[in-house]
Amino acid sequence: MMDLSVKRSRNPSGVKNKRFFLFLSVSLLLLIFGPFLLGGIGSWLGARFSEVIFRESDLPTEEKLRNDIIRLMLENSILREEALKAQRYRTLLGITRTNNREAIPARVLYRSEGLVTGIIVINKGRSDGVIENSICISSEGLVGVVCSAGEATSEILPITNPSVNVSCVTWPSGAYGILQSTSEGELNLVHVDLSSDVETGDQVLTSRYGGVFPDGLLAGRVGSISSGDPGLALKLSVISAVDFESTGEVLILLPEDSWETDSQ
Amino acid sequence: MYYRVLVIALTIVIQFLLELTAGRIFVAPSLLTLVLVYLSENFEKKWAIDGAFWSGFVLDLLLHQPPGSSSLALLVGLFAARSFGALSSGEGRGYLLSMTAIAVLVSDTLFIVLASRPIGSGFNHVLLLVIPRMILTVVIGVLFLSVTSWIIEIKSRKVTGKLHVQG
Repeated sequence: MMDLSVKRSRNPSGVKNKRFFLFLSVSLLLLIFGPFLLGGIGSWLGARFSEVIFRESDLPTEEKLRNDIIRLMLENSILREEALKAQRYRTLLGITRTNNREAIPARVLYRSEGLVTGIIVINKGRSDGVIENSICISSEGLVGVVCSAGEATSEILPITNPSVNVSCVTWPSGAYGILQSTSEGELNLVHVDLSSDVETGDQVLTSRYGGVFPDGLLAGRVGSISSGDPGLALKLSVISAVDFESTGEVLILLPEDSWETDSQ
Repeated sequence: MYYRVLVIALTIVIQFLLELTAGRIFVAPSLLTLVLVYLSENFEKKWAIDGAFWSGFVLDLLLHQPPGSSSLALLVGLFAARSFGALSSGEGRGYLLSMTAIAVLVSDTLFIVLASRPIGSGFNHVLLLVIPRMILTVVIGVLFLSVTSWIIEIKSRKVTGKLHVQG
């Protein structure tokens, strides 16, 4: 150490050179690592500064943010459901504008056991103007027919019930037939003319024949085509347009004669 | 000592303002180099090392330049000027101005090369701007030295006046 101090005192330019190279090295290191170091220090200082300026209570905690996310997710799902419902209502509203019959909107309260023999109960009854043989439709298509109307509720017999027969026509092929359900709940369009040019995917719509159902309501689509048992007519397997398990909002179309009677 | 630190600090502020104004339009004179050369030659030699490093670092932070680029450029520039001074062993106003010119030339060239990203990409016609910057610095140096000489002259006159009365 003594030697070094002596050396320094004897050779001040050497000391200056050492100092020069020291600062030169520091500058070089700063040039290479400076941006990373200063960036890190800068963000750390910024964080400390924000801690001092903004009180801790004002900062959103992780738990609060998580709760907010959950709340927003729930809100989103509700809004999505509302949007779907609004879409269905719009479709139903469109139907009422193109149909002469008086329409009553209703909600499905519950369904009794079994899709085949079960019935659908809605929240509108005789007090709302619902009468027997009114037609129940949803935004997807034909649901069924009102078989019983109570004071505040009504029972709908779905088209999947074997006791319901609907006169239908395929579109665009134009073949007529009777839509009925088997005991297993399969929908078939029977008594279809052999010569008709039906194809799978054709729409099955209610026809103007029959009297109960207004024409043009979508019942389903042709799933497959086979010849009937005697071989004299075609039997079309029909895929229902309505998902009976998820139907919530429906429209009750009153019979035409009742509306005319009321208006008179 | 503190007086010189204050001078350096003031020069950094002026240099900063000049870079933001004249530097944006064309070129700003390198006052910092001039002052550092002047201080290192007239007072302690440490101004060429410590002064160059710290003033360069502060200037880099102020001007959002790559940290260390000005420090390194000033250190090398002043080292080159000192080397020239050692070789020439001259004195006077011309000697100081030529040292300043060399320091500006070397430090600015090095700065452009180091501060450009990627490093070295500034080695093109932009380097020509160093020449007007050097000339401008030398012109200001002439004015600066004239003013300082004048002040010193006034001071020495006062001193000689007193001595004359006493004699």
